[in-house]
Amino acid sequence: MKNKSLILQILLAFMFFSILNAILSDIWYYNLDHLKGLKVWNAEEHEGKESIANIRDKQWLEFAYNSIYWTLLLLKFYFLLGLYYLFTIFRSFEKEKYFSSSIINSFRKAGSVFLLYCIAVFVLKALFHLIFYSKNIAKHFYKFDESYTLLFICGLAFYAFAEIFKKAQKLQEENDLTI
Amino acid sequence: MPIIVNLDVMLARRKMKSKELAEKIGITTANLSILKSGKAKAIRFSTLEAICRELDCQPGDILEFSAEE
Repeated sequence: MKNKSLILQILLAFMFFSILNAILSDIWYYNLDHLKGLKVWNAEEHEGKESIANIRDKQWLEFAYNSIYWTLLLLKFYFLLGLYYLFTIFRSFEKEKYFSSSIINSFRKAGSVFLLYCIAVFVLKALFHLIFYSKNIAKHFYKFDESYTLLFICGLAFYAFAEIFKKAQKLQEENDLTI
Repeated sequence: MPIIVNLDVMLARRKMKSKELAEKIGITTANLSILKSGKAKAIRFSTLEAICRELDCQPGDILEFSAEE
């Protein structure tokens, strides 16, 4: 388990830094070209076709785009926090501390980070869809299956692990105190 | 816990030290200390048997039930 933990830690570190790199490049190469390519930005050309509540104010659209874009980036940093919690779990495994309170807390925190990230990203993307593409938001909901389900299940699984480890810690303690 | 361990009383009666008993029954002094202080959650029959054999007593001499605590 010790060696496997080390390998998993290396993999997680690699994942962590590649996500960080992606976030930093998103910040570095940020521009409004994507927004300006959307139909809603060029509403005059596509009159009456798209956009929420027929919003045509470009200042407002820019504000909405920026808000969603930067919130999504901040959420990615939050996701990195979840990876850090996973990292601490594997580090504890490496030290052969399987049933400590820190592991239980890390599992719970990682679970809540993944669940919150998943829900927040879904809501933000729904908002993005609503504002910039179509009034019919229902079309967006089927996308939940595609990219979020796995992460959502991971979050729930980590919560379950936290409960299992809590029970295991109690059993371990009882076993240690059996003379 | 309503179960009281009277091991120290029996040790005093037999004029035996904890360390000596621990060595004889094959457990660590730390574990014997946990047992004496009442922090133990459970006791194995094998340990109880060894203690009773060494101290020449019955399990009831070591363990006592008190509903008040």
